[in-house]
Amino acid sequence: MADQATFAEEAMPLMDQLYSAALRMTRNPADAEDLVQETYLKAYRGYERFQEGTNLKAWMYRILTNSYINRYRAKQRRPDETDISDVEDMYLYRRLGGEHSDVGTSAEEAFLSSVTDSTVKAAIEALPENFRIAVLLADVEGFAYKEIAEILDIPIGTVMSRIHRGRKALEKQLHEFAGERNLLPDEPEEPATVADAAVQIDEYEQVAPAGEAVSP
Amino acid sequence: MNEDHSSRPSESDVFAASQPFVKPTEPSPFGLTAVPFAGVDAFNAAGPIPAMEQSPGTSIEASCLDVHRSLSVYLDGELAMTQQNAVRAHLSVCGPCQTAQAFQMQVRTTVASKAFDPMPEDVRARITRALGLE
Repeated sequence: MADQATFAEEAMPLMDQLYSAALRMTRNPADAEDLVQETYLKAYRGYERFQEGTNLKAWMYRILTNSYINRYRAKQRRPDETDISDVEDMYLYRRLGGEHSDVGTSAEEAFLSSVTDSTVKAAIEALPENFRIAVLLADVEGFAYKEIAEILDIPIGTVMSRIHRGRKALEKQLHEFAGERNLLPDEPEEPATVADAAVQIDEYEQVAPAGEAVSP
Repeated sequence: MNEDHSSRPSESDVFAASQPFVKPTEPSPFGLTAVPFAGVDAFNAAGPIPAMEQSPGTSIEASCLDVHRSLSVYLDGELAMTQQNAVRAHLSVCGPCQTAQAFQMQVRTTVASKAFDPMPEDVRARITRALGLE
């Protein structure tokens, strides 16, 4: 069957990308696997309605995001409309002192080279849903605004707003997560293990028992 | 017709209102009309189609602040053409903004390259079987 062969040839290579996106959306491997499977089954069943020559990747992402939204929001009484507070423009650049330094400073390069995969993933996943999906589609999947507007079925101005604000929030998250990880070795007073922490708490409570009035 | 837009401001309206560029209109010595750089706000005003039909006598200058505010959308190539040109012109002569641009591009590359997870092979095989594509 020609259609089957075409689908296999064109849609199956997108599976890793779709899974990565599904994982950022659901934040959970089992849900992401189910979501991708659902996406492929729906796409395959509807493939005859797909117009050849149009953007198959965008079509697959539309099915993925719709499936995610239907599945996820079905569990909620109302859609997730969480907003984010405004973050200043060029957040990371300013925090790293970029404004006051010369070209190619080591602080900026050191920061970016210290950012790990898990930091980036955690920072994306920390964004509220609307912003997370918009940033994901733009910056990880590389879709243009018009394509994202079609995938999410929202006005293009809203796409731009979500991407622009979502990116700034992402920079803030990256800075916080990377900062937390980088600062850990520099704070020797921090307990090295959970057991150490427990000992410290015990010692503290022996000196000042919690909830007990000290009798004269 | 569209109740949502009449009852409360849309996200893009809020966005436009939250970031006004305050640059006065100035007369140009060359008889050109200098209009305020609207950056990302102009995108909302212009709608999905970039405002390419600017009159020939219109020019826009972008300040460092304008560039910082618009860089994200500029790098996407999604500013209206006049704004896109104004940012490009500023970047061609401003070292600090070039540095900022290079950094923002590196941030994007970092994000894009570090958020990948391959589909587990057993799940890939399961889906392939479910589709009858073995």
